[in-house]
Amino acid sequence: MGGAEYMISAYGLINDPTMRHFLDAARTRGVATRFVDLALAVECGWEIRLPPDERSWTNTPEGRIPLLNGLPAYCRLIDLGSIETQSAASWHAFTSALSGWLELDTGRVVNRPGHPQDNASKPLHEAILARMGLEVPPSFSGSGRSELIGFAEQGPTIAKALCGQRTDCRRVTVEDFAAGARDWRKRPGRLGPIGQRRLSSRSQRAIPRDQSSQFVVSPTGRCDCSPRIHLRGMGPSHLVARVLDPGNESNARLQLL
Amino acid sequence: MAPLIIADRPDPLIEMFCDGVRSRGRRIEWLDFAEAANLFRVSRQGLTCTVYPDLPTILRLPHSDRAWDDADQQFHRAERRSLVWAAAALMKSVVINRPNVHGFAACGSSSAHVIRHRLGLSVGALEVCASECPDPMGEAAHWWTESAREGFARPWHDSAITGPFRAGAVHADDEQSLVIVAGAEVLRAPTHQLRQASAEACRKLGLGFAAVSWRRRHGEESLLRVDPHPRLDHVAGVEEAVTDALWAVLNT
Repeated sequence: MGGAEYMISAYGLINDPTMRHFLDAARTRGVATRFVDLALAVECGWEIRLPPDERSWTNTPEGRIPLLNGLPAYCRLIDLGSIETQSAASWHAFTSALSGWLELDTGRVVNRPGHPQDNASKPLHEAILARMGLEVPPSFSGSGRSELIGFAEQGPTIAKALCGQRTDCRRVTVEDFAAGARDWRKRPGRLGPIGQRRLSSRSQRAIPRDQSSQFVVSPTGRCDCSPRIHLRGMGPSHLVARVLDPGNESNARLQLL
Repeated sequence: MAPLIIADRPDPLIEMFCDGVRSRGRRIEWLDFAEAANLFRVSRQGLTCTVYPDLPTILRLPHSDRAWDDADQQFHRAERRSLVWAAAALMKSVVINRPNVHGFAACGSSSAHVIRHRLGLSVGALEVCASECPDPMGEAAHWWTESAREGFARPWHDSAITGPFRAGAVHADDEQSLVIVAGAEVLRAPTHQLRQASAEACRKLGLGFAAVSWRRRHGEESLLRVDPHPRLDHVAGVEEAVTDALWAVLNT
């Protein structure tokens, strides 16, 4: 598996819909893509050398795949150690090493590791987006029941995960917090934090009201609806073109995805 | 209100620091990440962010070695960490090791190569990360490995049974230095050059408290690691100076 036959590399999970779309788009365009599935590598073995050279590899049931320094690459590195706890150390070590390898890769890397991670802290991310001049709805994040009720009283409100691990969100009202009052008193410190955002009128119709108070009673519970945002001109096909064409728009914008 | 420490327990270095502060007749409040997440409120209206409470804070890295057997618990923990991350990043008070857009370790990394790259330093010696114990590159006597499950390095012939591993060459005549940067103080630096270089590295990485490892080989200094979470044994012999330096930062 030498480097000459490939035009780009892709690193991620085959179960990741975005990665699957990317690979499909590359195939449709006739772009030879060498894909490294992170889950297979963790399961079958890997060796990564820093600084990057041509002797790093990952294993699959079909054989060894060399990592190709300098080949244009697209990566979506996801550490599944938080879910696959039995192999958490392997996941963390592999994704950390691969992250270092890709940060130092001499080629063009879309979403090169080392870029900002603040999307995993929504209150911080929103503050930064606001500083950049974007219009970001007001928000409150915390565990204080009276403040959560106060924010919900002031207008239509959604609750969504602070860390972005579960991207679904749902509408909440004062009643949601009233319904959880007994649990709040019984288990101080166990409930929350909850991230509340003011629902903007443009997206209001996209998010149905759900009467369940699951999110309030148990902030670790799953949420109910998942509005999807599609950016015009930023679909997988567009991304393949970006990876291939260094003269295209800068990576900086892609890192916002 | 007293300054805050946010650190998961146990943390022997923070115990030492709290004992030192209290022996000086001062007050300090120690919260773990769950307690801190229960306390903090972050509200934002347009460009105006308000963090409550907004107090001088020492922030340690959250513990990552707990075995979570429940995905919901893991999610809840991530939620708590996200709120503490935002609160510490956005509060106006001084925060020692304030997180930034890159996370709790600011611009730090566990890889020496990545750190060197971010600091604009030249490429260092080969570092091998692997699922199985990697065979020696060069003389076996110089090849050391570190198991992720153990967290410390051993000679290759004495390697741990289970990985994953990091490996690299260590020569018998290598000299290593561990410099402590605590606020404005740079402690245990063997030379003026390392004193300045350690302070500069921490400044660039956004760290106010760190242990900076250097290796001297054939007369040349090489940065090995910038640890944003110094342990108690890292500051052995300079505990008082570290306590004074960190307390001084909290009171600026």
